[in-house]
Amino acid sequence: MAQAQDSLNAFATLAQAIESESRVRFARWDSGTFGAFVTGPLNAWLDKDPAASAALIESCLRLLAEGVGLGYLSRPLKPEEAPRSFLDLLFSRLIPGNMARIPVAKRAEILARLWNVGENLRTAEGFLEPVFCRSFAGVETLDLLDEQLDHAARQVLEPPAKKLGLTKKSLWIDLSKSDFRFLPGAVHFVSPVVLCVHDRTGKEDEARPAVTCGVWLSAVPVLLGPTRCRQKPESDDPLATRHFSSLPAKDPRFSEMYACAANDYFAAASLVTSQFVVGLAPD
Amino acid sequence: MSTSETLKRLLEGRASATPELKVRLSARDGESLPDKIRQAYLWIVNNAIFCPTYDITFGKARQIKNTAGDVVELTDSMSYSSFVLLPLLTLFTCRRALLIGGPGRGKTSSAILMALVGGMPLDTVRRSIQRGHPQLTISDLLGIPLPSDMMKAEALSEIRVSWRDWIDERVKIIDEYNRIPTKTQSALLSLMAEGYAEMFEQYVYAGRSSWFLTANDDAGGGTFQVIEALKDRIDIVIRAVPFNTGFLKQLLKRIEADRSPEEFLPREIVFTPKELDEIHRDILHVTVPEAVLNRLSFFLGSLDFCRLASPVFELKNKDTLRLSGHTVSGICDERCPLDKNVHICTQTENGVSVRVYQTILHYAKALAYVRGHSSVDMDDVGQIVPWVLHEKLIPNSRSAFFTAKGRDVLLNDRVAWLREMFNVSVTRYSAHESTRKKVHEFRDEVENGLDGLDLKTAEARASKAVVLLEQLMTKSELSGHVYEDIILLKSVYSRYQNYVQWLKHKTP
Repeated sequence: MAQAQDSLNAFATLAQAIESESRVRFARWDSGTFGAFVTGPLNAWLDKDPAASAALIESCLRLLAEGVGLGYLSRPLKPEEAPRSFLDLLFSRLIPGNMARIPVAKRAEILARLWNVGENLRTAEGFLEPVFCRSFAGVETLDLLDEQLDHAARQVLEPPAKKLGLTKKSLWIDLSKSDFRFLPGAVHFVSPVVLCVHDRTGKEDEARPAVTCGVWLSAVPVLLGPTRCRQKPESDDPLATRHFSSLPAKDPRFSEMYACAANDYFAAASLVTSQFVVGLAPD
Repeated sequence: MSTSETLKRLLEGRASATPELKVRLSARDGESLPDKIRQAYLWIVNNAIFCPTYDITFGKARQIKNTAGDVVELTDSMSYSSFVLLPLLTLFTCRRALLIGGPGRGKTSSAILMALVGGMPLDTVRRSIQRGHPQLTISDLLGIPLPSDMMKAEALSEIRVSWRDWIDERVKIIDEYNRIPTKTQSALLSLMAEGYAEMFEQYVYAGRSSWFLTANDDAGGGTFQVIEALKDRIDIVIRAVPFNTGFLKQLLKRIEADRSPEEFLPREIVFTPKELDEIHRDILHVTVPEAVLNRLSFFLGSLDFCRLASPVFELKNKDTLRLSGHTVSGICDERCPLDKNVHICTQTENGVSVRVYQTILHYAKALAYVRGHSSVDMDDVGQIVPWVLHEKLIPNSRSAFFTAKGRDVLLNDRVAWLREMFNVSVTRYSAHESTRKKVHEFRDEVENGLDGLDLKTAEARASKAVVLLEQLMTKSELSGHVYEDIILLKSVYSRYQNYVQWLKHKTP
């Protein structure tokens, strides 16, 4: 008991020292956020993991300080809250929930790799981070990290099994759930299964990239939020248009089309007077 | 990119595990420089200079008024404090700023912070500040000849001068410049204006640097009158603001910590010489659209005009008056038919120099750059104009414009007055835009060159210029901008005429 108390005291002292150092190092230092992570999820981790070495604890605190100082982290996630970013997920749940179960010799390596993934996802294509967050949100072990990362990436970067044929099913995707102001405009595919929808009304220039929303065309479409897309989508593809030629007769909801796009696996169209995007998937 | 390549890219990063089972984090690649500038700005505002006065604003404004007519504006976009932002812009544009305000308002502290942000060590900054006082001599300021050389030399060129170290620094601070004796001001002028100083035929060059001068009040009141030429070299005026007592607790903490903000400036917001050069270069690459240039020239071009200055058309400007010892206030009355409420020429005693145009454009580019834009917009120009013109334009306090209700208060505050004048001018531009466009077409045509132009075409173009000129003279009111157009058209006509004469003379 005394030993556990000593450990906690040492942890608190170390956290305080790193906080003082970070206050001077970072222009955007937020003591509140750092404190919330230290007293919340990280404290919870240490309660369950008496074997955590001083070196690992220090590494974790320094990575946390880097994340807070650079503005990567906002606050610890609440229990049922969807992750805002991979790094929020890492410090709120992945470390507290899984670090104790990782062999001591592998912990530093896994922590380093997860940090790199989190930091790089911030600047990768915008649709990747929400997918990785969803994939890792419920993990109970990080022993198979390579396989888990591979699975997360393949879900959205690899083509699906079936190609779009003559029989299709329509998916009605409500983009107002992402942002009530979003008015779908140009559409294009950023991966075989991810559609990027540009807002019709936003003005874009070098200072203001387009307002976009990614849609993962899985069995149940998933809204992925802004894609950070800087492309200017091509005007309508005539080949894509033909996928939708019979839809108005079958589905009265399908009114005048605004833009459309298609690849070998899916087709998608935005409508002139709707916040929905219509996807066509293989039946 | 394939899945495996994407994964590889995600896994390669700054963190790596060491043999001691620690995670080592390498330094981050540079973020964008405008972002670093914004970080520096935020740190200064949050930790160093407690300045809640956000007077450089962008975006749509919501006005909250009281019954007495006072207005508070809240904007929906980023806003800045001029007292913090303008020194940063001066640092990155390598220009010269004058910080004015009452004692103890943070003028010298602000300049010191800029030197620290510019990469100078704190002790070097403190040593290199030049403090104005009535006994400051040229030698104190610049350096002295080596005594041993003076004894031995048989010619001036043999005397070496030991120049003061501060002259080489990237950031130069002159504290209380209005307490420097006039003779020494002249030496300072040479360094500031020409970039070099001379003594015993030895030269020292200031190099690319930013200058921060402080003075205690607007009128330059101090021990010595500041020479006009030195005042004219100052690019921008930055006004210190009174302390807001809402921050008294932070001041108390500062006293209790016994440390000043200069002592704990984070290294993340210190710029290397390479970064400063890169920023300077990038700022120059920010474009200025034609529409912005036209509106700026419409505004500034109206200021020099004085209809009653001379019967000679080309001399209808305020310089003519000044050279004859007269003032605008002495002659701008009902004899001039121009509406004093509409035409801004009545409001000033003087116009502006070419330097002012360059300064406004340079600072506007810097502001656009800090905001993350690749081109300047009218908001950038509008926010910069009052600070650049603050000490450059003298108001004509006897103008009928200022006697109208509510306008006399503008004489109390140069920034408010200049902002109002600029906004009025910009709104009037659209009425004149089509005419200005026609005039510029003539200008552009002649600037394309006259090589190979035949006599008939040259004469035809000259005639067309005359037609537009006649139209402006007879159908438009002769105001500042119309005057500028007529002068420009006349120059176009003259160039064609000169060419025609040359062709006629050349052809046997």
